[in-house]
Amino acid sequence: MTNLKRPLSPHLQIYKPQLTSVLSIAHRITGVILSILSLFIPLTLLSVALGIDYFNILKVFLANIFIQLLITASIFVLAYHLLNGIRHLFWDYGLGLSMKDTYVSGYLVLIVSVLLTLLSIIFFEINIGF
Amino acid sequence: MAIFHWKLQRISAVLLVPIIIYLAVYLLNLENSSYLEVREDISSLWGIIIISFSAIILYTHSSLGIEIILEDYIHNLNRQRFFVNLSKLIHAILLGLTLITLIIIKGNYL
Repeated sequence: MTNLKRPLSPHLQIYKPQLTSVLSIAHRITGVILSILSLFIPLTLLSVALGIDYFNILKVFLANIFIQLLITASIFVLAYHLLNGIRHLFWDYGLGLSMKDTYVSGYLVLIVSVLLTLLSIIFFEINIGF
Repeated sequence: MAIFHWKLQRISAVLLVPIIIYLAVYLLNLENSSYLEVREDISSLWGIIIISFSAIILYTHSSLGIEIILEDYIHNLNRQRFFVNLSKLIHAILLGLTLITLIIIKGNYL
């Protein structure tokens, strides 16, 4: 039978934060955020299905400066989850598992995520107020 | 079952790498596209194939991820089962809604 008293992972409250553990929980948090953001797939399609008026309402909504900030944050969240996910896939093949490699790839994921976010702001002309 | 879960999560992850980049770029370019262009893109053969395939992979990946998190943090087994099923239901509804709106757009039903 299942032992209900067994300790369940991970006990974040009693775990000293380190880059590795912070990136690990960040992968889950960004995953949850992306799951919530996936709501916008059927909603965008619905606005197209409902006709041009609804599509234009969506466009006005997306052009709002506060929403543009949220879009920027979402780009970072997506970039992070994507890159850290690729990091996980390498681990699954037994690559980059040493302590040193884990830290190097961890910092790399963070730096490239920030770079991709900044590049998207420039490339897609996202209006974040400056 | 756990091995299947693990494998499916990895396979969907690999498939999502190109899919999500393509979708993100398309969505970020949305303001530069006219309504008719977007509508044509969606109802083209490739549009329908890409969107339905992406939605199936994406909601599978999302559902598996949320399931694992719920299993790790909800200790009461009955409650855990309830929330896992609720999450699966919501994911199924979102996938269904995506496919239905796709049919509505293609068939010009609205």
